[in-house]
Amino acid sequence: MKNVLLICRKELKSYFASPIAYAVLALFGLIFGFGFYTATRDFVRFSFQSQMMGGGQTMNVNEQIIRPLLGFASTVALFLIPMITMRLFAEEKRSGTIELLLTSPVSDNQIILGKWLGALLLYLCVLAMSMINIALLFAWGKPDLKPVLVAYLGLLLQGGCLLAIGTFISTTTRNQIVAGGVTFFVCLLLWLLSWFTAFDSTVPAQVVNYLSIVTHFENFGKGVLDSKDVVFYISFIFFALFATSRSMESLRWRA
Amino acid sequence: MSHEWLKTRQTKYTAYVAVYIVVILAVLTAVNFLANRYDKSWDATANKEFSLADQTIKVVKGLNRDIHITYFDDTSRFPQARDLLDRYSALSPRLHVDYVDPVKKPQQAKSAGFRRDVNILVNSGLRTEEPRASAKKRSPERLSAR
Amino acid sequence: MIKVQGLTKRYARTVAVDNISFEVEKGQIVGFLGPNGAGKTTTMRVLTCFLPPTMGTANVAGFDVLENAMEVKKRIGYLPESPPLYPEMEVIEYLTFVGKLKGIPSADLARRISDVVGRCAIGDVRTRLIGKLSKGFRQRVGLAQAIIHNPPVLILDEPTSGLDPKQIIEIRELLKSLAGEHTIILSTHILSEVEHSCEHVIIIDRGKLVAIDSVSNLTNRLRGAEAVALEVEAADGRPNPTDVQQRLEQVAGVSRVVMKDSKNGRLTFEIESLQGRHIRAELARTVVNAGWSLSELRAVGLSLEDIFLQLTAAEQKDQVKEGDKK
Repeated sequence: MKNVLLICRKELKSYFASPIAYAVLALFGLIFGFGFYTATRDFVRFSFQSQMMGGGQTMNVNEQIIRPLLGFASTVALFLIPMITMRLFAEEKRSGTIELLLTSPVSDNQIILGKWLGALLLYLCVLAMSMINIALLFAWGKPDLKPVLVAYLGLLLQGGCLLAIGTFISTTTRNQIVAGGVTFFVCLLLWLLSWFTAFDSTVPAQVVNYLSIVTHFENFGKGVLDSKDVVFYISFIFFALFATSRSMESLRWRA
Repeated sequence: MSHEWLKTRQTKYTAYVAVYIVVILAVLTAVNFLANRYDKSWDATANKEFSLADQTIKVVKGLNRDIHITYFDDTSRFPQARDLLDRYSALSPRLHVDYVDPVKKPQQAKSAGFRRDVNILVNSGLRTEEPRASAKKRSPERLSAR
Repeated sequence: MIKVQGLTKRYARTVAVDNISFEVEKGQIVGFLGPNGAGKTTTMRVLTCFLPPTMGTANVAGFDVLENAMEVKKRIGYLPESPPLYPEMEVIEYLTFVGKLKGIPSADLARRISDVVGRCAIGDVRTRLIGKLSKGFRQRVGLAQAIIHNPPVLILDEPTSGLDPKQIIEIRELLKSLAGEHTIILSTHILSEVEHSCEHVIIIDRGKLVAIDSVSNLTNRLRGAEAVALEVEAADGRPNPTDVQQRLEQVAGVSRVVMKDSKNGRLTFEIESLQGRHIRAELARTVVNAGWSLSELRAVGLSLEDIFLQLTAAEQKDQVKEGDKK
């Protein structure tokens, strides 16, 4: 456990010593900020309109701003995560520092967990930025807090899955750009997959749909904490990190 | 001889990895299966908007016949309907929900019993009901009576 | 301390290390000598548990590299050919990280760091970013990380590469001071490196073990000694192999005679000469004068010479380069 935290800290410091962390935070801040502005502006406009027309329509900040916005955030994350994970292993392989890690008394699993955790914490910082925006809504309105927290938990778990996939892909190549590109492609594929199979009731489609990371976020987005979704996300993360461990093992046989 | 040794060690390793992966996948699938069976959810919204009334839950869980609900609407309105209807289907393996867009899939709609202006059809094998939209929450109770 | 038996490492089509066996005793400094691509780095990577062997076993500090990798890794310090440094870290930050990674308890960490900083003479750049260091300093930081946790076994791949002559001497002194309590195996393609720092040497070429010896023996053997294969025909036990051997041993300039084979009507010997002596002519004369049939006489064991030539050629090239720089 100590080793996991040691590597996690190193990874986090590395992120902030390079432009990556700042680029990701800035990009997300910009895009999310814009989305936030648009959503809030439309909401306000709409509420004025309905007021002028005699009212009657129930306005729900949670439903109409926060839920779609966090859905939007999860999509943006989909595309930023490759930037976070691409250097996790690819860089170590390229610079030769992987030899240091693999010949020190730390297990492969500790290395993988430490790196994934570091990436997750960076992702948490990204989410924190969005929380600043959402906090404004609480200052000026009275949205329901608990569903928002549940939604963030969902974002964290979903992010964890994608980060785990990115970590795995990072072990397959020395080239950061390739790692990032493939991760992006895979994330995109996963996103599209859920889109296409959403309302198809055939069995294969339903299976694919169930395996989609996006599908399981729906409940979280609504504010519903469903145990099967949590189990799914944790299983997914476990399997992706397990695959990473096998990949590292095979690295030695290939090297 | 040394060539065979190489193959042995490497094939042994590959075999071991393959088995390992299959086993883990099997375990995870089983765990998820169980999680679906013994699902527990907590609705954090203030009005419990996404939960069904206790009475409804009891009725649906106690279903002793297969019930098919078919929802006919434009595809863009599916997500809203899903919010509610999925709650039903999650409660019982005997309740199935199909979402059919009569414009996109007229054949399927027709064979499922679609007529103009019909929104929801509930089919229990014995009879088919057309609950009115506002009566959605009451319909399971009417179902159970049959 | 290090025991390697029948070690073979193959990749797809190539054999990087082919059935080598050697032993290194506790406290020895052993040089691993061979041209580039000979298999030195691969062997070291097996010893450090970075690569699994295809065949054979390797034992470091009493633990097998496959079965007990974790135990091995606790007891080794490794400096790869290219030092494994994180350019975005400061020197102290890096050494702290490695120290913790190697399991140094936090109470001892600060002390160990200042110890290696002193020994490797990197005090001046403690707070400098590694990415900004010169090659010489990088090499020394690399060495520091190898010794920081005071491991019983040190495995160093070209530890003096990139260093200027003064620094090379400093490193040699450092290594000498470490020997005794530490077991060191260092690899190089430069002959003089080995002469200065090591007591024993293992020579490897194209994956195969060429020689294991103490440095003094080796230098003797390499300095113009000759090995000759000689075949004498024999029938019905005549001539008597022992007679032949004795006669050959008496030839001037011969240091030893080894009988290799005595069947099929042929007596085969391998004969080594003393330094700088050429013995073939004299051997031929001896055989003929004794009335025996000489069926073959040829020079053998050129592999050592080959290596030596290659190595000295490489060294000369390096020296020329150094000369040009000055």
